[in-house]
Amino acid sequence: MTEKKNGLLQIPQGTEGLYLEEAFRHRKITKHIEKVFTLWGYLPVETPVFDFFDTYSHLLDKNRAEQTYRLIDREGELLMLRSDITLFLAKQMSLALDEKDLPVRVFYADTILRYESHEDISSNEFFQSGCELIGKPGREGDLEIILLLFNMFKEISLKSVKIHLGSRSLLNSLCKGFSEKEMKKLNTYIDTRSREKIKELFMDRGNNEEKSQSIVSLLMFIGSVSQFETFVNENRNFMVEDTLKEASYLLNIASTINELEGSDSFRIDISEIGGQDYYTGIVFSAYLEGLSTAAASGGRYDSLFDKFGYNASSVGFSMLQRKIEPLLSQSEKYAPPEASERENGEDFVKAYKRGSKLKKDGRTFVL
Amino acid sequence: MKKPLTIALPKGRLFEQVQEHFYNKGIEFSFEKRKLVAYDNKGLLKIFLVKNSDLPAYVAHGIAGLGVCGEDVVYETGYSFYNVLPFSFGGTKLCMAAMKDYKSDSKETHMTIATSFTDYTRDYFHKQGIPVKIIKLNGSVELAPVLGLAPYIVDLVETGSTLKANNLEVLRTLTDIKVNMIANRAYYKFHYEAINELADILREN
Repeated sequence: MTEKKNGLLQIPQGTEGLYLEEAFRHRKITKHIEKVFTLWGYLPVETPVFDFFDTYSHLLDKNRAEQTYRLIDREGELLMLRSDITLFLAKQMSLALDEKDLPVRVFYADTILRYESHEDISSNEFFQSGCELIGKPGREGDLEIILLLFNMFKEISLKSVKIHLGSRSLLNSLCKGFSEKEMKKLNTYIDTRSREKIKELFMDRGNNEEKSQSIVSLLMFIGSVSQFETFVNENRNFMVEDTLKEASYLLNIASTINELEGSDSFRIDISEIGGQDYYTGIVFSAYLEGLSTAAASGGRYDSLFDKFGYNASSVGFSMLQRKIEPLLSQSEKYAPPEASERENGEDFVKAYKRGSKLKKDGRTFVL
Repeated sequence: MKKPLTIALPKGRLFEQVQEHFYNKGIEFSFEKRKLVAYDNKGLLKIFLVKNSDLPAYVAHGIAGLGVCGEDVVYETGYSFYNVLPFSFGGTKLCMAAMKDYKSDSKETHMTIATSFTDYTRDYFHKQGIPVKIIKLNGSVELAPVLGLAPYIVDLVETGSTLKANNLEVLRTLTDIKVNMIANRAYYKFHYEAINELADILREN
């Protein structure tokens, strides 16, 4: 190998390039996933690489804002690089859609950039793919998107997936009257499964110890449909009407999914509250053995489009696709095809003609 | 047979206390000389022995799904985990100390503090609106006031004997530090039943 000039081949921290077999595999997985989305009637959307920061700043909490890469254009406007396709897509669809177009089914698969030092210092460039079902509120919309997520994993042979179903609206029903600061605290406590702190917070809000303990058990619940049914019946007295309504809705969704796809891959998990503040209804995450973070996550957000002056409910999911690709690295399905080669000493013209025939049959030939 | 859960344990002071606690709950293990991986007698756990300050990184990246670690170490790494089980052993305090006869200069615009816990110290004083200059040290922090590097230190205090031996006194306690069994979030979600069973075995009465 030729000696390279000092420093010429250094790459900025966090960027990612893909080469040869790995790039082939990445593209093939992407195509396969896109094919699944297309078979469900979803069409592609391409979002801009950057947009005005001010458009999204009110939707980003402090941490999310700090994660974005910002730049100033030639007129002095503050821009942000695409850090989450959902946000960019919400604005774009709000501009393009009419009420008569609804419901609309879209998918995307593109690069995003955001700083994620705590998660992985070596990677700030991600490939995000996902789906949005816009303008289909309620049960059937929720069911469609969860079943699509499950089927996508099944299609790409990641059948051991576990999808945890939670509800942001159930959480909200427990926290009526909470200040923004208290909500933030509660989210942090749920996010660290700090049972004692959750209990203290609800006791500080005037609930007695028994009720606070029951709320902790509810917020930490993970289990099957029948286990959740039993839990709700045993703790019914501690739940307000809205909480019971949300629990019943979640049970309905989970039962229908179990009926259609079996119960092995689905769990009710009230500690799933959605990573983003804009979620308003059902939320879910998908987990796979061997991954250190959720493989995909999503939920319903009925007010995000409102922020861009367009009134439509939406439910969707996204995943950082490069995280699941190592799990498929041994799959023959995504490996580059075996190639026939020009034989040693074979005449070029003869080899060209032979190769043309092979390629017509769909085989790879290297001249 | 079920696949064992993976857990990282910290080398050093805390390790013996963890090993004893697990032993008392019927989970026995030991590491062969120079080896850093072991299995317990019940086949429940695959155990990694790692440097205390690196433990959160192993758990965050899913190399070990679980870990036993002090809150101070987790805070400094910036990672966030599930706190599956609190332990009563290994607890300590993070304190600010200075030389016994130290008189602060009223003209000081900020306090100079030497510490290994730079993130926690900075956040603690910033929240209180107290300007601080922080000097990072990796050990023997109590030497800083003695040698004149910084008048104040922030460090873990267990018995206070090291402070006393260096003529230092505690000025304030910043926080109590607890030891927890932590879990990588995705790992917990995937293996929650087995982890909850383990937590039930290890729970203190």
